[in-house]
Amino acid sequence: MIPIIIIIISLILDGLLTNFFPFTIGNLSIFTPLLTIVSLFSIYPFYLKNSNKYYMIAIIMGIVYDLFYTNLLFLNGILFLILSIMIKYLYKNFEVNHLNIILYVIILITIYEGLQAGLIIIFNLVPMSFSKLFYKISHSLLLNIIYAEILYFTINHISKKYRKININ
Amino acid sequence: MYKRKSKITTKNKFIIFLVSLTIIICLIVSLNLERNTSIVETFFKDISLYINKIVLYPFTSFNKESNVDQDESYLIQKNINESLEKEILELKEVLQLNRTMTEYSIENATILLRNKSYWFNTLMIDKGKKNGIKKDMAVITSNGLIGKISKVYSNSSEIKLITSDDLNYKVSVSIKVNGTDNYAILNGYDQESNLLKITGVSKTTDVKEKDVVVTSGLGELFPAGIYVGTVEKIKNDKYNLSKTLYIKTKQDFNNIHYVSILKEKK
Repeated sequence: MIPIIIIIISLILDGLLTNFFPFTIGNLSIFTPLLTIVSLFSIYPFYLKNSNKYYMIAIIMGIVYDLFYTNLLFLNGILFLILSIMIKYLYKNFEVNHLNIILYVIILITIYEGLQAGLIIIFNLVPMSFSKLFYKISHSLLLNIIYAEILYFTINHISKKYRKININ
Repeated sequence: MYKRKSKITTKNKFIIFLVSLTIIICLIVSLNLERNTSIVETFFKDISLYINKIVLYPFTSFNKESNVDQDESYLIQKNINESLEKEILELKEVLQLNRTMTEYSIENATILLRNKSYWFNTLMIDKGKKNGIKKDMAVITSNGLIGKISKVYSNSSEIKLITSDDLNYKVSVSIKVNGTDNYAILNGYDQESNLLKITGVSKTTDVKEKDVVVTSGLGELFPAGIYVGTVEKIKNDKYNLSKTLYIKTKQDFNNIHYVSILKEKK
């Protein structure tokens, strides 16, 4: 139940913060939120023994995210699934601690934005360039890294289950 | 030594093929921005908007606590008053605008949400099919044209802003030069300077900075005469054959709360 609550709170916060910070490309806030993705990363330890359930949650959250915030039905469902596979790989092969989380959040946001930009180029929807993509990624890092650290700290302290499975 | 052979059976191949096909179909459906919304999507979208409304309510409405000590709540009250004054001013501007657009009936709406797919620059409003909103209707504020309706649901709609860099999104405009109309196409947004772009203006057109740009009415998408902005910068193209104009709008696109949708009178 804890991971579901975390991901729902993150989803709501994501929408709320988007409404308060500048959102036009070229004038983006450095606090551009992608909190749902960060929460997807943070909740993985709850599903170490049940990856399929984790993938299912990722797809559902992606579709809900699309319905709530993007109108691009299924796109985030697919992207969240790819990210969840990536997250599983990171947890299986690397250590997770306060410092590494920064790197993982950067990797996940880069993959998410990169895939989205790639699809936009393939479908020829919006003129896209590397500088625009870099601008978008750079403006999405700060808040999400802070949020990832807060989630890591909070989950580590509130959940015994999480502590057991944590390598540290 | 036993070497494990990878076993990709026909069944697995078939599953991989099916999953890939599903993903491709989903992406094609998802990224077709001009697709019509299905009943199922409209239903879920409306539910999600109601949930969003409820979630956002504490942040968008004002403090309604009545038993708070006056001294302690002075700053809160002051902020509330300032916010209310700002809101009244904004609504007055919208009402003023309503009087000037006589040939169109106007539907006022409130911005509910910003779209999180930042590349597309869209907003959600609280009026939809039930309020007579249709696709491609012009959306304005007291500061001029801000966009058009791109998707309509039962109780909500999506506005695509003119700052959107969508390749298929072009607005026919007229540049007022010495009282004459010079037609051009508004087709982009310069993200570095935060200005709208008009490309392909003839070199011989005598456009000056501060010239006013309004909608031309050509193309039958937007009515003629809606203020878009003023010419801020003029640049010649690299072959010196045409000019690119950079237009500054009065509207701060990060700070829109109320909009008016122009509905053609029958």
